[in-house]
Amino acid sequence: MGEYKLLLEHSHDPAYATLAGYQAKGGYAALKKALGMERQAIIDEVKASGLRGRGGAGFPTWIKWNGIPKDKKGKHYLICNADEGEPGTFKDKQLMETTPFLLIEGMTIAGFATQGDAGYIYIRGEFVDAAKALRKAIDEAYAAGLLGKNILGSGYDFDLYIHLGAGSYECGEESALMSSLMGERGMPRLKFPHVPLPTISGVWDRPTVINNVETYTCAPFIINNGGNWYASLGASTKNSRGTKIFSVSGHVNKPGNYEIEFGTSLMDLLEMAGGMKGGALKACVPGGSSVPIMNAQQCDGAIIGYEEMAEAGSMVGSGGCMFLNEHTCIVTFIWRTAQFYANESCGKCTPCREGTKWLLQIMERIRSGGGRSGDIELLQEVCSQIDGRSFCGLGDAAAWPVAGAIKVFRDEFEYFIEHGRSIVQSAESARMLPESPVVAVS
Amino acid sequence: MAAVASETVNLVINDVEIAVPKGELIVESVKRLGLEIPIFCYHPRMKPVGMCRMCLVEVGFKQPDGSVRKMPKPQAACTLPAQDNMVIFTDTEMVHRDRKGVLEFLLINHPLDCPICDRGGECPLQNNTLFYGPSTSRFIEVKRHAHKAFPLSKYVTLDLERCIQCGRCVRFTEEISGDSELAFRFRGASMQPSTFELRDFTSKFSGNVIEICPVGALTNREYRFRARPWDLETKPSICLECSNGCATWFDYRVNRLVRVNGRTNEAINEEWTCDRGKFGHEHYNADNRLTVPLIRRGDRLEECDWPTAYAAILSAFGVGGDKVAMLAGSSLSNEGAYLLNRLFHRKFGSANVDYRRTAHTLPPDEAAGNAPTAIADLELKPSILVFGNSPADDIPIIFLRIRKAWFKHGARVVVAHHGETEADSFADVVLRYAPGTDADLAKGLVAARANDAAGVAQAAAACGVDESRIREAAALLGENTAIVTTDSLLNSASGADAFRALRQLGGELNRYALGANDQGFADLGLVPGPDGRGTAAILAGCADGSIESLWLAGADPFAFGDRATVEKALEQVGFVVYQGTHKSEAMGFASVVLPMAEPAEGDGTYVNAERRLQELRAVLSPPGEAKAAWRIGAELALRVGMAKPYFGAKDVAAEIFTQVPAFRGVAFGDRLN
Amino acid sequence: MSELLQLGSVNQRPQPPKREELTLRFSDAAVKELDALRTHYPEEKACVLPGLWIAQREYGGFLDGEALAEVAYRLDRSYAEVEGVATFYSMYNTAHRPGRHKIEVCTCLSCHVNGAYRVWDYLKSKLGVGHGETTADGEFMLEEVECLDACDRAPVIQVGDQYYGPVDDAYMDRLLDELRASPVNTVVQMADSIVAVQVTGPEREAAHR
Repeated sequence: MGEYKLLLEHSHDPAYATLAGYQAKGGYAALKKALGMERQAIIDEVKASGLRGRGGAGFPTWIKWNGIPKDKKGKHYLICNADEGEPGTFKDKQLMETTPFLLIEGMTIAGFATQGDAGYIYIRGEFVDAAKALRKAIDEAYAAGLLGKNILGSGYDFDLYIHLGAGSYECGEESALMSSLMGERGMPRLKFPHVPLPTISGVWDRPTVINNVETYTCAPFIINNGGNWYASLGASTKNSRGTKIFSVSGHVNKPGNYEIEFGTSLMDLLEMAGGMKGGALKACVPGGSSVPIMNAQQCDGAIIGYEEMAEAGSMVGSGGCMFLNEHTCIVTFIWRTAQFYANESCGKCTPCREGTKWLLQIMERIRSGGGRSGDIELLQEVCSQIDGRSFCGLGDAAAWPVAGAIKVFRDEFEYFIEHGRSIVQSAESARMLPESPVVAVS
Repeated sequence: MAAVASETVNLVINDVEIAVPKGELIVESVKRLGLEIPIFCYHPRMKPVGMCRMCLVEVGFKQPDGSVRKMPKPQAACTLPAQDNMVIFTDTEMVHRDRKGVLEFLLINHPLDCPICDRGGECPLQNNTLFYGPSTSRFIEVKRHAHKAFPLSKYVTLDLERCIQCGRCVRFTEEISGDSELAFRFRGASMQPSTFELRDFTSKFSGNVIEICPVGALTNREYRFRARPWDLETKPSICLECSNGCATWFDYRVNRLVRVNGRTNEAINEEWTCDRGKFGHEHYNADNRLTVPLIRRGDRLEECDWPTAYAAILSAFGVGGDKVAMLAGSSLSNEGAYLLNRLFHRKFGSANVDYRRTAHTLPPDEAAGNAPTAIADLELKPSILVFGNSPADDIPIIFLRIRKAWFKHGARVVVAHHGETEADSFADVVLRYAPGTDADLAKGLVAARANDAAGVAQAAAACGVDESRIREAAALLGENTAIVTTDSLLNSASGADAFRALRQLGGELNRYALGANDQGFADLGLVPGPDGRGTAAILAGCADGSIESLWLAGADPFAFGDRATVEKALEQVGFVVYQGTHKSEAMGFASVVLPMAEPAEGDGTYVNAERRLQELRAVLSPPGEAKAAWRIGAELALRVGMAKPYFGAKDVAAEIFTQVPAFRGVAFGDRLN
Repeated sequence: MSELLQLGSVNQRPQPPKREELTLRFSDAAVKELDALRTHYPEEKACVLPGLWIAQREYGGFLDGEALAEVAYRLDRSYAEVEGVATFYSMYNTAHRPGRHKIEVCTCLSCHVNGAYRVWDYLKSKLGVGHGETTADGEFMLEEVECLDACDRAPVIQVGDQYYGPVDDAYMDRLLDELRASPVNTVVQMADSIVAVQVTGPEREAAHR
């Protein structure tokens, strides 16, 4: 347990982002090995590894790869979800900028295992540096016969394309990402059981694997060292295997990406990040803004693992871990969270479209001193009318922070409503609200 | 339609077991039990999207041990396909709470417009709120504001504050009419449907979005503030603005047309209308309706009574034979056309009767058998050739059916025309031939199918279409192709030749009429035959004096030829009967004016483009002394002792059924023999 | 007052542009880049997003109606559909014509608790503009944005291609001076970078030959 630099081992070496530098550190040995394996054997290694999706859902990766039809009747596609948008998360950014070949090799391995014809890396529009690094790397790979036709003489053809988003958090949702890739507004699509799974009918109605950047980058290590080896990491947890990069930010002294073995404690992670800055620990949002907020007491003793974090009252999520010190006004923090979801709601379904804006308006009113008795219950009810009723997970993700914060920090909300100001005097909470920059209507 | 044995699955809905076809949407399955799930965004003729969340129900699956395991979240019934062992709950406390929640969300930004909103009284949002919604509002924040009463086009008014973002209008323009003129812009709570830069909504089917909008966001601009739905009476009717004969609802109030809505007729228009029809009935209310007979005395037209008018007519047409002629207008009913035609043939001894308005005509033996494919069957054709017309202009609802064949069933479509058509956007091959070279192209297609390379080359050179294109198109056509042409092709000098060539292509060759009852006239024999004059000869005869008396039976003469020719004919001819509904320019040439009732002001039967016989029952009463055409024909027949009295249009119809072979034994709603 | 009363006769409604009326501004290189992108996807519709990036570059950083119409024309989509896609995404400049530089200030969670609003308020008062507005000299447009996901450098801003952070008032003063002095239009440059990363190296070279 503790810090374990598997993916990030060579992240600080600029040469690692070049083909020569990557190969010098053992890069592409895994692909060579995989191309000599049976496809099912590759998927079995991933199963043995216990790898779960690193984007936030934690879904067992082998099930997705295995779900692609074995008898191929047309094109198969792979998509890399590089639309890292979850607030607090910046691991994929670092992976793409500094270890692009891990992603490329990982996708090629996944492509081979699932008879994929082409892969698309959907990168959020803001991540130009990451896209540039990948562009260079992909061009090098093509030139060296590691992408394109007859890779390494194996007879396997695989194309890899880069596609940029244009500013929409919802496009990180896998079905909305598919819509956006196909040239539409980033609105989510129907899911199983209303329609077949993406592995049967995904992008352009073809079998599709969609995984997060970090998930794909684990593949070379699993192939090189075997699934069982990977599963030996994190063995102290119930069902969380391998390493996970946590993006630590907020009020810490050394914000950054820290790769830890599952089973590490949350407080150890905080220590790796240089400990609290400017005051004692008050709250933590461990896995991106969508997961329930924890207070200091809950943080104490919390172990990082999918099941373990749930027991502690929150989630691993994307691994975007924000630590907040005692001078943070939770009400103001939740107001800003509500603004984020209201701005990013795609508008497709009634509960999220109307509900996120209503939550924001209530939080604005409370922040401006207009809170009324009954507002807490109103917030909770609006949350319950969104949670589970929306078309996609963004609705749930918008409701959980508000409901969660009220559960854990109810006294702060009560104080703000009663006194018209925060229980904590911070620069943020004292700031008057001049206007609400909800997405402008022209 | 072919019956397909579909697999059934066993569901339990509210503790009742039922077998339904596998994959049927749950929102439809519950209707089998007489239950209804409230919806907004769902529309049975479009792909379901599950956006509004109004149809959320609880869903579980029967486990092997008999227990039911519920899914953690409620599911949208409108997108959920029926599966074995599915257990549905539409009436639980959670479902009621969810419906109330969705309605509360929809209402927080909805303006309190009911008192000034045309939708009030026939509004799904009002109805669902009454049944399922909250009775008070807890929203004390500021509602969003957006464009209100915005004129999106001359027919449609847009109110973006009322919009509940259900997407039906956007999906209609994408899936049904295909022009994609409406799309959602912005996102989140600002999301709104719009045309490009809020410019004119030019779709030829724009009126449909008014009817499918579940709130008052898209309203009928002509109908605005005219009436409340509870003031209106509604009767079924048929649109007679073109030959498709779509089913409509005629809303009226105190004997005055207020608006026209689409009515469901799966055989013709499903539930759609086109703008020509939906907004094309204002002539019923026009100020210049004719209400009394008029007779010319000197250079003025003066009011007279019917006997005087009739006497003058019978006197002028008594000369008979080749010296008299009649032009029939396309919205005459079968009864009116039959009686007037019989009067001409039997009493006046004249075969100079015609309704055709095209520049050229087909010889009688080639004009028959001209609509083999029923409109609904077009949808299932594997390939369709549109030749020589723009279907969205000529036969709008048939255009929608052609598009549906492509959109829903993957039909291959070839469009051959000298101009742009809406069908170009989904056609596999577009053959844009030079004007006047239609027959060349048709021959080219025949040659391509016969592997006659020289023929194809010749055709390509003549009509300006690439050889490879002609070949590509021909490869898509065959015995199962429906060829869609209209009478428009007969405006080309080589149109008849083109038809001859098209006949050799195999498949079903359809020549759809353009005017409302043109097909009925064809089947009733309102054509001159070998002894009589056709339209062109009638006009020529009027001009040179060989024809002394001309009867315009509901016909606008300026539609029958170019302006100069028609003017000369009207000026020169001695006696003109103007039998019409409105005052017009042609009336200036009349000797006698007979005020005619509009179609919906009397009973009548009509035959549409696919030869389907339809009955129209009177909705309004005719104004003043205006009479239906059949009544004019019957009264004249009585005067000349030609027939027993007819007491209603249906007496005339009964006679047609026995006398005209095409009509024998045909029930209303069926196609002619 | 309702538009119904304001707008005159029905005949004054502006019509959608006819294809023949469109002025097409894509350079040869842009056309070649779009053609290269067409080969990346099984359906042309997928080129809408990259096509809009090309248009944003070709049209000086602002996607006005003409830009959207050109993209629709080149990809055989309806005008309304392309406008709908462009206005969905926050990085396409459809609502306001940007200045030479667009300063995007993240005020989301980690940046928020690390003083982002202080930076925002400072910039607003220094430049004299609010969200979505451009300075009178056309140099700077200011926008408050959601999480840029570079939270370890909070508070973070983005100008064109580049992320900058952690920023404070002094940093912003220096940066604004640098940007004013630079000849580059970073809005257009960013659009170009984004196009360049999506076409392959060889495709890019062939297009700009």
